[in-house]
Amino acid sequence: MRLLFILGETWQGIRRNASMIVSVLLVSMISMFFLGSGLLAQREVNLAKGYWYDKVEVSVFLCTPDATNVPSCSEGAVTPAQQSQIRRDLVGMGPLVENLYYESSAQAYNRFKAQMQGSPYLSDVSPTSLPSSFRVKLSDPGRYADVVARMDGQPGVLAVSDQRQVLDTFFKLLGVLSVGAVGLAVLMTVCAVLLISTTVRQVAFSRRKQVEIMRLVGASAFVIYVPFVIEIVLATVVGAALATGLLWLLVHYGVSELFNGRGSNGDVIALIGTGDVWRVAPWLILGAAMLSLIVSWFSLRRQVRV
Amino acid sequence: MISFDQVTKRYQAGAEPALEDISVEIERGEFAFLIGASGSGKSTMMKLVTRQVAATRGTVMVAGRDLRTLPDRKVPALRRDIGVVFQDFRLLENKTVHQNVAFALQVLGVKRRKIRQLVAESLELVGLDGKARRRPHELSGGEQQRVAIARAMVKQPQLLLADEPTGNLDPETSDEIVKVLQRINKTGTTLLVATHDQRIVDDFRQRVIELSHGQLVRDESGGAYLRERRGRGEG
Repeated sequence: MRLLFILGETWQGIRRNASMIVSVLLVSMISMFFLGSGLLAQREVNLAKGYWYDKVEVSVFLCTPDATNVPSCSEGAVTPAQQSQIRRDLVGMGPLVENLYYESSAQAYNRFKAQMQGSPYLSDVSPTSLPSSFRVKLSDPGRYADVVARMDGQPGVLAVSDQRQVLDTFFKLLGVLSVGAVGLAVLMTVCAVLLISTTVRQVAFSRRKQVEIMRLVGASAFVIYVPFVIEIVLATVVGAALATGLLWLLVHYGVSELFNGRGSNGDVIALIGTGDVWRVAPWLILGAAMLSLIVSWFSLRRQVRV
Repeated sequence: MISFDQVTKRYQAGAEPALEDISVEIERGEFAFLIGASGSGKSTMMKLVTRQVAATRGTVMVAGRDLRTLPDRKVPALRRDIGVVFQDFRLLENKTVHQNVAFALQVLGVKRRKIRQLVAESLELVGLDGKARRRPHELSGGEQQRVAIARAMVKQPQLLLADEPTGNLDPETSDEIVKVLQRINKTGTTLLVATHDQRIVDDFRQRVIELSHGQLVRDESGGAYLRERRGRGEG
């Protein structure tokens, strides 16, 4: 009986304060959308790091006959003795070097030819102009600097390159985006908290006669507060659910459709999918519910004396 | 039913007391008028009884409870034993007469069948049976106050507090309201009625407690108060 009464009061409250409730819903939707975007961007960074770092190799390019301007190549093309010393040094780096293979300049040229098929630049490249190299796969890609420090400037080494440096720029960009999204989410959450407490004050004021009567007939604080709390929690939860819908649309049409399924392996940039949205959704909704529950309860305790 | 023992109430430390050193007792089943000018402390006394405010000093006992030591969580239970009626009726405009009265029971979680029965009884007590479907704006002032009394009485309280119940009503309607209150008193409910209305105090000859500047200046029962006024040539 009391449950029905409380639900009835809640419904009447929502009808009478529709505009306030809608504003709480919208602010909750926007803040949860930014928070969700931030979480998804972070997940993308983690997934992409794992995906790409797994493929990343450190390349130790060996001197070509033309590269005499580099000090370590002053003797011209790498000599067989230098080459075996370099191989020994790399093998000597123990468990860090997981895999090591040699690519001759002819192999490099063939790979280049295959990748650049039909490109006008192909004719500018001669079979001997591409350096031979050792491709090193590391057990811990994060320690690529160790290999660079060891090999850079060694006789016969033209250059040491790490693909990570290129990727890091991309990851940094994603990182900034995710921090930005989370930052905005924090700001919007502050807005949501302030708006909820203002709404509670407004709603309580508009129903002060009713609250006064409830108080004087001996209703408990619980019965007095609950209709207000349900209204606010419902609005924020619906807002969070709508935010989840927006995130789904963003990932499904904005990310998956645009990037996944394109490029050489079908995974150029995007690795997150709508599944990740469903993983984030319960936390967004639960977070929104808890936040609104706590904020509205404390605002009521402060503003509606029982 | 109500006992004030050397009660002082200050709203702010150092300020003039709203009530000072009041000692008074109202027995179960009694009917008392609480009179005094605006600012004399009548409303503060009412608020102390319902524990809307707490005494600064002294002891307030209501229906066997010491309000000084009553924990906050037990205040709703105290208020369930007290009905309150105001000068401005305080009815919910969007609810019918029946819904307004039922509201007091709904918030307490009373079952629907019981509510129907108690609301009908309460409306009959105040002479409003037959107007249950009306909304407050369709009723006269006197009828609205009867609805407020029905709402206060529907939970069958031991004590009814009425704060200026006739303040917005003409003399004839005021008399009707006081008669309703007397009828309620006859059922065993204790009544404390704060009023400015000298005429009804004189006419209905009940106990009179008078406050002035927060102090108890008179406590007379029955017609004693009236006799003294007449003796002074005021009546």
